[in-house]
Amino acid sequence: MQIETDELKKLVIWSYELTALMPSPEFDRTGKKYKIESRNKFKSLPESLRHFDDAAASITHFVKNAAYFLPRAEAKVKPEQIMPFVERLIERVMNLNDETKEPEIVREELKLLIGYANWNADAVCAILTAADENSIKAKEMIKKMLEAELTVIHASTELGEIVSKIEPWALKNFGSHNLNEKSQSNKPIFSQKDSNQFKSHNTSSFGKSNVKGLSKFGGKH
Amino acid sequence: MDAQAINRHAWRIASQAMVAKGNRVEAYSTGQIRFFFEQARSSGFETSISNKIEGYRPQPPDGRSGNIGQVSEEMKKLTDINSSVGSQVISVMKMLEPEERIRFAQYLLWNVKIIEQMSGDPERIRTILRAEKIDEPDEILNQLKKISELNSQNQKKGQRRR
Repeated sequence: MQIETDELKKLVIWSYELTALMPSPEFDRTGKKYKIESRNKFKSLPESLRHFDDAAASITHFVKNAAYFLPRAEAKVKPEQIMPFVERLIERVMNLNDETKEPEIVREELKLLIGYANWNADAVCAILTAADENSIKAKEMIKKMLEAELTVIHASTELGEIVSKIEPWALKNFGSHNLNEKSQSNKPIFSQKDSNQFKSHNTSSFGKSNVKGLSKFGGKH
Repeated sequence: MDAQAINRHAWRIASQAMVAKGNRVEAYSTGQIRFFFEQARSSGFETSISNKIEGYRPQPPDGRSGNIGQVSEEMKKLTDINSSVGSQVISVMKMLEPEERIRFAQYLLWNVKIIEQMSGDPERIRTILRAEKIDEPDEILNQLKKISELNSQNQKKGQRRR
């Protein structure tokens, strides 16, 4: 089974539309990298396309699975955040299904559409992590990636449109964890009350090396 | 029965299981529908579902007394929906093989939740029905339109009360 070049081009463009409707990447402090909340929900979507041998039944199962599971509430992602993605995905299934195509081809196209949308998201997360908190660098890398990909499929004319969707989505939370850390580090170490207590002590007994966390800078013990 | 026909039954019955509650569109009872799903595996589904339908006693909404005219009318409506939905579930299940019964009951449960998640909006549901290639969706959509209209009336009443 072969998917024509024009179809592939359409799927790649649609996949970026879908990626831009996923929750924006956020920095994961544990893994020290950017990631997308509810990533597993998106990743497991293509599984429902393999649920039945019958392609038409699998497409139905896929639509139902997406409309039922994706909007289910999760700790960090509210159903209304996921709904635009769900509705656009279903619209795209409808577009593909409306054409007089064999269900088997539609199923393959859907696997590509979702697969590409997930890969796009992974690639952007990898770029954000590699950009080392430099938003100019991140923007450049994202643009280069899109340019290269769209040129290969002869869709360079779509570059501006796709960049205008992907860039704000990708950078929405970029560097915000650092801002939080900075705002916390700007807080005074001692409150006014602590500070008064501090003053009332014999300050000579407080060497830097006794302050928790500073001993690693080589204070004398 | 083929998968499309099973799904169409699941959508048709799901649309009839919905009610306007306040300004939301909800299943008349998720518990009852979940029970139908649980019974789909059993060969004795007909007896257990019939017993469950007979034993259904809806709770008065918002802790109000069931003796107030409007409340008792609402409760009667829920009981009627329960009888109608339950008997339709039994008659569809009787036409199906065990594996098909499970798929039908699962789709019924999912469809009900999908309608709730789409706020019962017939236009949003229309897109899903088209994507699922449901034949003659008007019966399903007209039922949802009725509930949607009731929902709008409830919202207007609520605004007037404020």
